[in-house]
Amino acid sequence: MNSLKWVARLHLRYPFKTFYVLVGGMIEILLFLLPISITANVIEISIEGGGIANAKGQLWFLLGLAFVQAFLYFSVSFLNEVLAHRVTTDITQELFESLQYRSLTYHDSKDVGNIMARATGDTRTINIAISPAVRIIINVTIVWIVAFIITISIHYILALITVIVFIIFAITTLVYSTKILPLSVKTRENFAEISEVINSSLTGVREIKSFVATPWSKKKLLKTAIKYQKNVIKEQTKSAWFYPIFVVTFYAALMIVLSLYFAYMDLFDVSIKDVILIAGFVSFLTGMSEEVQWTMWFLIRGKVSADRIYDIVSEKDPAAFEDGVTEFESNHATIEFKNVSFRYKGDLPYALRNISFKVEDLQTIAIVGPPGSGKSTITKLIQRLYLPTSGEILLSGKPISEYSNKSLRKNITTVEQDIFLFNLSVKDNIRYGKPEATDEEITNVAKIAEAHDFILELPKKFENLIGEGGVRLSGGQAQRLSIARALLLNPSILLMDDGASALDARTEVKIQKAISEILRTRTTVITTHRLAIIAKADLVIIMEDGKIVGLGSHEHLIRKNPYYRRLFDKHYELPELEGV
Amino acid sequence: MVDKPTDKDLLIYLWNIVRLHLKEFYLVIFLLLLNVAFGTIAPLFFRKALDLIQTNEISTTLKMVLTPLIAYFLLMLVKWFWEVFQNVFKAKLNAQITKDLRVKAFNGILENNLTFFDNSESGYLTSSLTNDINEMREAGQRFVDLFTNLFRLIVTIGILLYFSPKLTLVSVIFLPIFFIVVFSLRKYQRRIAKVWRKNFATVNQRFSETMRSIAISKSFAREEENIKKFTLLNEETYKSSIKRGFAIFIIGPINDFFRHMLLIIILAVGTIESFNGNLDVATFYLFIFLMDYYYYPLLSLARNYSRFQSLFVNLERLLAVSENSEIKEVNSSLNESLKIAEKLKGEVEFKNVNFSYVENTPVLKNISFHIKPGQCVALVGHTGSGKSTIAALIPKFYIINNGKILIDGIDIQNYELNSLRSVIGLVSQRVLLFKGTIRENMLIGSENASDEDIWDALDAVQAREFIELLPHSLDFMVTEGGKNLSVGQRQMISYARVLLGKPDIIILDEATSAVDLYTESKIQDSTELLLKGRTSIVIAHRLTTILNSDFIIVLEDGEIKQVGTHKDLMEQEGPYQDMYQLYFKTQSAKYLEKIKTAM
Repeated sequence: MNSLKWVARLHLRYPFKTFYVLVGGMIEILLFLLPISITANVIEISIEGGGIANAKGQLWFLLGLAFVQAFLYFSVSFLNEVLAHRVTTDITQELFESLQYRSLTYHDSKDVGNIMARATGDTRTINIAISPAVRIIINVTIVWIVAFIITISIHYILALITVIVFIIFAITTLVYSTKILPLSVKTRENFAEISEVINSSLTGVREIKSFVATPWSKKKLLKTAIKYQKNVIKEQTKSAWFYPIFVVTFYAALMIVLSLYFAYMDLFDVSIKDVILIAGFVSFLTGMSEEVQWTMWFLIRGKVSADRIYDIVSEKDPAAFEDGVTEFESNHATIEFKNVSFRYKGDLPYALRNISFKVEDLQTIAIVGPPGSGKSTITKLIQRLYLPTSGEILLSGKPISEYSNKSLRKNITTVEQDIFLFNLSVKDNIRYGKPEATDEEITNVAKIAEAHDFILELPKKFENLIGEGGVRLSGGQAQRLSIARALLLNPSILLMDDGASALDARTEVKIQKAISEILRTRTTVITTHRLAIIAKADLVIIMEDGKIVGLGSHEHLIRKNPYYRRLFDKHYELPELEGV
Repeated sequence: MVDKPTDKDLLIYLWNIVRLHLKEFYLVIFLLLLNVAFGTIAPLFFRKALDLIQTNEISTTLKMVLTPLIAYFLLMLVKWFWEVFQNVFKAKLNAQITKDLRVKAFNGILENNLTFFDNSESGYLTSSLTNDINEMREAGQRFVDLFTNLFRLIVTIGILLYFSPKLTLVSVIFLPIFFIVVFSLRKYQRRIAKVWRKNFATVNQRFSETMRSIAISKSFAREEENIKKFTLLNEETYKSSIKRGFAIFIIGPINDFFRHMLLIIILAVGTIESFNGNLDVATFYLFIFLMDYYYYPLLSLARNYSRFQSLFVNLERLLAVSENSEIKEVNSSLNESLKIAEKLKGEVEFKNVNFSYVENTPVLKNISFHIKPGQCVALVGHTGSGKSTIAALIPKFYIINNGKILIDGIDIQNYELNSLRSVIGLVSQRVLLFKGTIRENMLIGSENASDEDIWDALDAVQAREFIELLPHSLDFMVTEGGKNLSVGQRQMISYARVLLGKPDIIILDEATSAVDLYTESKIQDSTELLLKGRTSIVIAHRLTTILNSDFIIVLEDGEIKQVGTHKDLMEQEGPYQDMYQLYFKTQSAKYLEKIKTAM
């Protein structure tokens, strides 16, 4: 299925509107032709020496027509607009939904700014293509058919000329369109680039300001904006040379000259009335055909935009995997890695190499190691955000792929390292994973996560907005909200990526106390640099370059493992406390 | 620019941009005027020929009829060529204006202060700078149209008056009604456009936020909920789109209706006049033929008016964020000559500084301290105690409520802002890398650094090893936000790029929090030399990093509780001692061993 079929199919969801716009539009354009012939009739009355009494009927008819036409015109054009918005709203929706279920590998390769350009700019272009571009193209075609009927009623030679001109017009228009198309594709791509640059500059504005990099950022935009400008000029210059209309202009002038000549020579029974009819009609025809210039351009752009969105909607997700059917049983969970290797992308080095370990039910394991050694990757694989490149991960003895996504998410939750809080209220952020949670539950987990106190200090407490447009939280506060968010789900496996250690010692001790009870009742994987937690863990894994370089208890490792010793050397040098 | 720009302000703003391209602008107008002239004159030849045939006098020859016909024919063809030229230049003009608008607005937004960015949504701004401006592409066009339509109107009415003053007057009589109707729709259209634009931006904002947080959505299985929420917003926007559609399309049938009325009037009066012998048929027809030549310009003036409305809504929105002096980050004391900050000694002093992000919620209370050149000072305290805020105040990201911040004895208000920031290096808690190569990311603050300098800085933060392992090394493409590197790796790069700028004052706000202890201590050793002689301010929860600092400032709830060296502070009772004890108990390897053996 291509993008046009896709858009057409979306229209068919609204058969009445589509039908009304198509048929109503055809009738409307035909009614538009009536005043031309009435005009010719009335002038004929004058030529024949008739007065207003003779023309009365025609004029009354015209008045009635004005009402009918205004109604029809409005209903068709408005409904067309409604239809266009309906369809583009659906397109945005489909785009959004299709992206929701893609794998993380897929999302890693996509740029948000670029996708946003499609979601916003391209949908608007499609909108204009549907309303009014398509309708106008249909109207023009009908007017040409009428041109044929009128001319054949006068003389077949005129009709023949009409047909030939129409064919030339249609063919050249198509040829012209194919030439504009690649330029339009390029313009849309450049536009997406602009969107990317702006998006990244605005989200990184703090860095830009602190590095006094505004000139750098401005230059970057200027470069893309100029590139876009050049392409737009190229595209529009090409579209200005809409040579097909030349044929029509020539035709219109020729028809008028010929019919006048015929009338003068008294050939083929052409009367002055016919001349007026033809003159009125061909100038209408030229006007309509001129519209083809920009409507074709919008249609092409619409097609390009539809392609761009459909590309994403229909794109195969190479890393997609089928959801399992087994429900993950809560409360008793073991985790086992069997020779797991993993890389995020084909051209990137392995993030994990041949990892094997086993965590028993209710155990806590701690993962330590330098940046990029694969700590966070392990927690991501346990969540099945990615599938291992090779090897196997077993949860409670079964391959991870056999479980249903829903049950995994419900039973495994995470406190991520790179905390993302939403532009929502504190409350909505906490109940992110469980929208139906009661206020009591929310307050409860906020207390456990030591977040309750600072939340109550916010002006609107739990209803306070956070993030862009709301209050900015410190790293530690954000981490505590993220802990509350994870605890709310009461998971059987808790993954804590504590790599950023944003919590101060006091808060940490409090949280530790509070969640130690929770830790004892579930399997926990924690990446951390905090020795006290590590020391308490049942198992410590030391990672380096994606490999396990040490595995065992703290006591064992501190005596035997050089990596581990090295890691905590500094902690032997801490000045002693007096009286401890 | 005032808070609420008037239509006149908006027009002036636009005109100032159009003015940059006066050559194209005048050229387009010139071409259009000629075009109008051709278009209006051609029907006169047609009338002439029609007249000759109609009256059918004996003296009329074929040649006499053919001459005006050929002239008509040629004029129509020339008109076409002219139109092409005109469109080509128009395209050029429009594209240049769009570019200027976009660049100007973007640059304007970047000059805003951080409070503005804290309070605004990036998705909303992006949508303003991309789509809204694209819709304004026709700003120049609108001006051109304004002139040409007026011209066309005057020429056509002139011709008609020449042939039949009576019929002309009759046919313009109802136009005021038409204009009243169109103008009265103005407010409604503008209001509707505003609502629609806002809804549209909200959808974009939600879309982009959801995209940026897709990983967390997945780990909480929020996909369905996301869709549900998004659908609500999307449908809301649909509803306002329809309203906007109504406001726009209601004009069409009104135009149409009036055009019919005009035709009826001309036909009726024409018939009467020609029956009375005051009007020849050819002129009668000329009126019909030229009717659209003056009706359409009028229509277009009216339509332009409504387009100006939506243009103004866009522009108003844009100016509110890009040209609003209240949110600008300005050098505050413009009267005095601002000092360029370079080669600072690095003395930093806070004198009774009070600060709040939001009114009535003080974040820093009466902060005073003095750092001598070359000292290393640590800020410690619980989360939310105000450490990062102090760090943000030194490069003047925010304006303090009262008190003074002095650098090398001079109030920071008196430094030229950019020069001040270039001598202060801030490694912030939340690291953001840009899409681009590692090299590009490194060069952000110091464009002219050589690869050797880059590697030196990377060496200092222990980042060489992992970067060399990446495909293309320094040319490895970092994805948006740095997502394809680990958080620790991002921190290392961000630290290195600050070092690359060789700042006189360096602020490390949890600069190595995501790095393991061993790597961190290696970084400490290797940066020691680099930081020597520079003033450094360190914020860290890991007390290992601050033991060697010259003095420690202990903060609690935005106030300074204690100041002194580790040794001093350990001798006093107070928050530091508590903090250290806790830290020791959780982090000292020896202590932990002791506990274990004691058990």
